[in-house]
Amino acid sequence: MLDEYALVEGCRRQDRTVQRQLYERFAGKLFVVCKRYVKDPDEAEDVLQDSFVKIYRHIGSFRFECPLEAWLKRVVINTALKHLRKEKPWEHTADVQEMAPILPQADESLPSLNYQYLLQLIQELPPGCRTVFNLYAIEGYNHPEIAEMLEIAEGTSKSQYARARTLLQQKLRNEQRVRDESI
Amino acid sequence: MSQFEEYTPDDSSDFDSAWRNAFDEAAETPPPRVWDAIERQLDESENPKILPLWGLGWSASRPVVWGVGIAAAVVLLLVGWWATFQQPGLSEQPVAQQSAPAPQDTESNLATTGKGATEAPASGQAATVPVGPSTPDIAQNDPTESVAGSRRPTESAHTSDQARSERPSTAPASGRPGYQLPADRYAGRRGQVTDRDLLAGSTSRRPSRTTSTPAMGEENRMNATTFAEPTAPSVVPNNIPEPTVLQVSSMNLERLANRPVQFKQLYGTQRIIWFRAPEPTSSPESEQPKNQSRELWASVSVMPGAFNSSVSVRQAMPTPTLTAMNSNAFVQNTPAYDRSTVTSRANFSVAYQATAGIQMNEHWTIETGVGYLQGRSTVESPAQLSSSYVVRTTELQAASGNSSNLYVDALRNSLVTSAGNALNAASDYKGSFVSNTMLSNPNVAANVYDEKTRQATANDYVYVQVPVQVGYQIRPRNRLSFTVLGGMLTNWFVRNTVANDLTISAGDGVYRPVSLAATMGLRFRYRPTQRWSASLAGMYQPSLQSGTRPQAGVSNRPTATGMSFGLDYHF
Repeated sequence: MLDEYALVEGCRRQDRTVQRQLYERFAGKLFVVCKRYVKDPDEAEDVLQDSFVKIYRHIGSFRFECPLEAWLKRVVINTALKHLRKEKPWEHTADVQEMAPILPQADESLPSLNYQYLLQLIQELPPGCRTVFNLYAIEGYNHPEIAEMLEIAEGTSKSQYARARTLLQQKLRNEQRVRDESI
Repeated sequence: MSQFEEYTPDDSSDFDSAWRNAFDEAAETPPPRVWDAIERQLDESENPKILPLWGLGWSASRPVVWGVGIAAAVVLLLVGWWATFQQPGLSEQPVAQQSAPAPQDTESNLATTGKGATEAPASGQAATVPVGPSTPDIAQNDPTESVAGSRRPTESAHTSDQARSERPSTAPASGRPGYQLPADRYAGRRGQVTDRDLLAGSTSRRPSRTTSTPAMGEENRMNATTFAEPTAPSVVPNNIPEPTVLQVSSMNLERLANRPVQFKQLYGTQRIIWFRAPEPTSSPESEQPKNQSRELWASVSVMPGAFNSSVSVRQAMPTPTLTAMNSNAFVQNTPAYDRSTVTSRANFSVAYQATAGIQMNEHWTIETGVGYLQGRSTVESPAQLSSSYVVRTTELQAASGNSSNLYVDALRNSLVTSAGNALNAASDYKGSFVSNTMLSNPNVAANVYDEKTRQATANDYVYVQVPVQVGYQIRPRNRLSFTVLGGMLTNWFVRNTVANDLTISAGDGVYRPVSLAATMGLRFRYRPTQRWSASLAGMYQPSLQSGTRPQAGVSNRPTATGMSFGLDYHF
């Protein structure tokens, strides 16, 4: 198995075999990233495809200043955001005051659920909430950065995150209740 | 907003980290069609999309294709003609002077100074031009363009400064050389560096690159304006007549005459010259593909196709005179034979070729090899008449069963002429022709041909070919590549078998042993593996000179056309 350096060098030479190896090594993880941002499976495949084409074209600008996987993930996220930017779902947000009364208590932890179920929960979120939740909770951006990336107000980012979190916690509580009843 | 700030305390990080951990190692294999699409897109992206002239539907019809081709050729010729005849006019256009001469005491020199000064702003303007393109270049090279790519430059500048002041960038400046293996570099930090750090570093690094150039440009533009001010009074618009310029200059001279001399020249002419540092010659990374691209290959191919010998009779055969013949109606109507009476048509041919090639650079290739061409062509020419004057010929012809016509006779006549031995030739060729020596006595025999009765004669040519071709690859390094080929072909004549009876070899003095032909074509090469590839080429090989000797009675200009199928091995 080639190391990261050999993978990058091979892709710079446009060696199709090495390009294929890079794809096979990282496509699985990156496909999940795509699916977190884009609900429709076909669109997620499109985003993955566009991302890899970008990766192969711009692999020359990768300077090994961060792990290769992080760089690839960043490209995928940017491609997904570009895809979503056409619709700008994060602009359709509920008012902050509207969301405040239903804010949950911050004591929940995730039950031991597989990622497919969690992915399904994320995909069921409204697009704006989903994007902000992914960026904040999973990718680790802060609200000013998200506001800059999505060209929205910082408060909008916060409200979208709060709404996403509320919806997810509600779904998780329902799931827990169903489990308890079944036992 | 404040409510959310109060709400997002540390306890929420457990919720987020739980989600983060859940997706940390999550992977799902995408369907195979994704890779197929990626591969297809990579193949397509390396070539600009070409709209085929032959198109679809009505545009695919032959008249339209030919019409478009002819129109394009005419347009190209017109543009070429226009460019050729417009070129001398270009030298009459004014050329901007690069430097303003130092002022002298004479009026003429002052006038020159004024002229030079008028052009100074233009040169200064031109010097600032490179500032613009440099910024988009950087932006385009960044694959993460979609975050900040659509942002306005002013916004980007603002946010980058803000980001820089808020948190230091963890990522070093881009372009710093020196690779460390990720295992060494991140082994101790794997637990500490989170995606947030990496992503935050990336967002802060990008604007800093994009904003530095405009800031510098603004500052230097101001400097340039400041330095340009001392020369500003001498700036005279171009449309002011020259005497006015001289007058102003002389007035300035008078004013300056009373002032003490100051050596402002030491710092008077200051000019900001935008200079873009030359790119590094070439990094080892970029040199590597170049060295690797010079590869060798060997291939074998077979080319079925059509071969046309394009035969003509070089000289008219002697026509019997009426006095030498009886009142034979056929003879009286015998026309004068010329080259148009002999026609040839292409038949199936096959060529085998073994070639070797070398890739000179990314696009250009040179290849050579050796080939064996077996070309068949049918020649139609007026048949020989049976008459009382050609009794001997006819009898011999009937006895031998051989055909006799204008072409064959001319060929045999050439053989005899070159050999200089009529008797031997006559016995060799079973007397089915009448040589020139025999024709000297019209009472013996004469060949008479009927234009209306045409006889087809099969020709079977054999050549050994040595091609030297230059190729231009349109899609190098792709699985499917195209190469435009062009070059020379040396045809070594081996033999020609006429009507399965008459065999003429290279030593018989009729055909040139070596003749030149051009070769051109388009080759598609499919390379599924690193070593092997298959190629399909359409080739056209017209002869550049006659394939026969000047003294021969016949002339030919063979042309081969075919589709070549090859198998290549790349070293």
